[in-house]
Amino acid sequence: MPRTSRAEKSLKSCNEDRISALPDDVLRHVLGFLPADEAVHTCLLARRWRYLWKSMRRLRINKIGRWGSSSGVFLTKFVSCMLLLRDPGSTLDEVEIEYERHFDDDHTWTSTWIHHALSCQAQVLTVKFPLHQFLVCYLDGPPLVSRYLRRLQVSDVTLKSNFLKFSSCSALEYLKIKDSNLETVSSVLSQSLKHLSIEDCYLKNDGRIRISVPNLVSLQLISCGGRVPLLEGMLSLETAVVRPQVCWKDCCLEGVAEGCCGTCANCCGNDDHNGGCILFGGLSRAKNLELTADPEMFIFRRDLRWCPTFSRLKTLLLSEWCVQPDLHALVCMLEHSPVLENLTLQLCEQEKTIYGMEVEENPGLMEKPAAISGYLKTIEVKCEEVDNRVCKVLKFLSTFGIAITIQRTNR
Amino acid sequence: MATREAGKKMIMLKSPDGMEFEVEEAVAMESQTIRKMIEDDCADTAILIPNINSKILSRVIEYCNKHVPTTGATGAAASDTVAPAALAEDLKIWDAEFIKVNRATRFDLIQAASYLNIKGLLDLTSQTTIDTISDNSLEEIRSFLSTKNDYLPEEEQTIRRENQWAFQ
Repeated sequence: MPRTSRAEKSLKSCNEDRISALPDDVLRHVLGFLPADEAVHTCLLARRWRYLWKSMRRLRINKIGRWGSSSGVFLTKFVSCMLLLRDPGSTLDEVEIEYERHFDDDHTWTSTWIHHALSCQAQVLTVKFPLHQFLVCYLDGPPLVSRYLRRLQVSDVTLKSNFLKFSSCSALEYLKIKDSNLETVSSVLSQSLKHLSIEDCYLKNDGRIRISVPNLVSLQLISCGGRVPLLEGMLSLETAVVRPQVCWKDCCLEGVAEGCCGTCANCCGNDDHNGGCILFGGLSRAKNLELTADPEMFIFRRDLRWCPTFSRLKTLLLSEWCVQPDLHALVCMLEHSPVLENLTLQLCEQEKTIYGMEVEENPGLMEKPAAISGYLKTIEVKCEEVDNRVCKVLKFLSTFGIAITIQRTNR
Repeated sequence: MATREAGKKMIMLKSPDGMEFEVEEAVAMESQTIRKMIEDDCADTAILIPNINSKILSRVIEYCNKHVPTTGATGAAASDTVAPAALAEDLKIWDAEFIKVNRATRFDLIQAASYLNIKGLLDLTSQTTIDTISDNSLEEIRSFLSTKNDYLPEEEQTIRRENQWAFQ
């Protein structure tokens, strides 16, 4: 068997790396792991390598290369040539563009590169511009069109109005947006998307960003500034982590401190859609749900007015907002989670209590709520100190007759 | 997991040096090449893997065993499994150990991963190879790959000029 004898030979001389003996197809794959500049430079190695870079399977234009000393003009030219000089028809799987440097006002090229990469049938696209202080890189232009794009990650950029409309990206399943500015984006639209993560972004302040991704399976919405987005129905949702920041515009217009008067436009859900839930409507099919926010979070409490039944919810994590100013929110969530199995409460220290009202002033809630999941089997309370207030919450939970685990967390 | 035990189907893989490996169908199907054979019903008794010796094949199976999704028939998105991030981290550590092999073995693994079409293993072996040559001069890479520079000096100049945009 020729292969075996070759393997034996090379075992004898382990110093020899036989990478050059690989078929071109495999080399195109291997080559794609080199930073793009080094990959192009391999054209000088030997004849066999002259044109291989033109059909390598992925482009890694990132900080790992020798970009440190490069000028913006060089970079722009490099990336453009790299993309345009590819062998037409060669398979391109993945493109990763990550610049740490300013490249003057040539950021307009970025959108062109993205569109070109998609026309080369790229399936995975990553665009990151860390260290750009004012998110000067704009991703703009008409909505993306691709039948191949599966995964898209952007960070440290400013996204313009149409960028997140993916009606023409029928294979897109994974979208991650981080540290970016979405202030002019009015909607995220995709029929195919399964996983969505929006983290540390600025969202729209005048009106709400509408998230319409009906086939989503997992959602992460973490620490975004601006107004809380409006989530539309997601029938296949399994897991959602929603950790919004408090926005001063998301509040009761009547000015009742952090309360919900129930009559003003914001409280009635009469703000920018037809009334009803902003978040909970979209989350109602989740199996695992994490809803954490400071007690000032208005939207969660407001949504409870239309609280849907979380008909598949098995694991629920709630924080401070659900026990302040009283236990109403916690009770409401429990009453609407008929098959809940695991409940976790993550409580912070008492000094964060900013309400005059204290838990003990609601003696009526100290009895077990009428309709609570018969499947509930674990309750965990995480807190820094078991202070007076935590004791009250524990006292309430103890009426369920289920063992409670208390975990002390460090500050 | 109960469902996995119940629905388990075994496949026999044979290496050219006569060794036989019985593996779960799900594990074998980590290889897109084998998956296709199974789906096309060409895999009734045993599958001969023509150019991968038993030593390498057993390593490949070890890799597939570790990387096969543990969710059973319900499909890829497994939200019930605990902490996917922790699981991914665990796999990464395992991969790093797995790939601590000599160059010859790594080379054989690249070829095996390519032939059997196992993307994760191909990526892992490619990345490891690249890590050893990245950031070296052309001369260093050449000696590393045992590649001879077969360009004439004037040819080399032409290529440099052709790709001037890539050289500062």
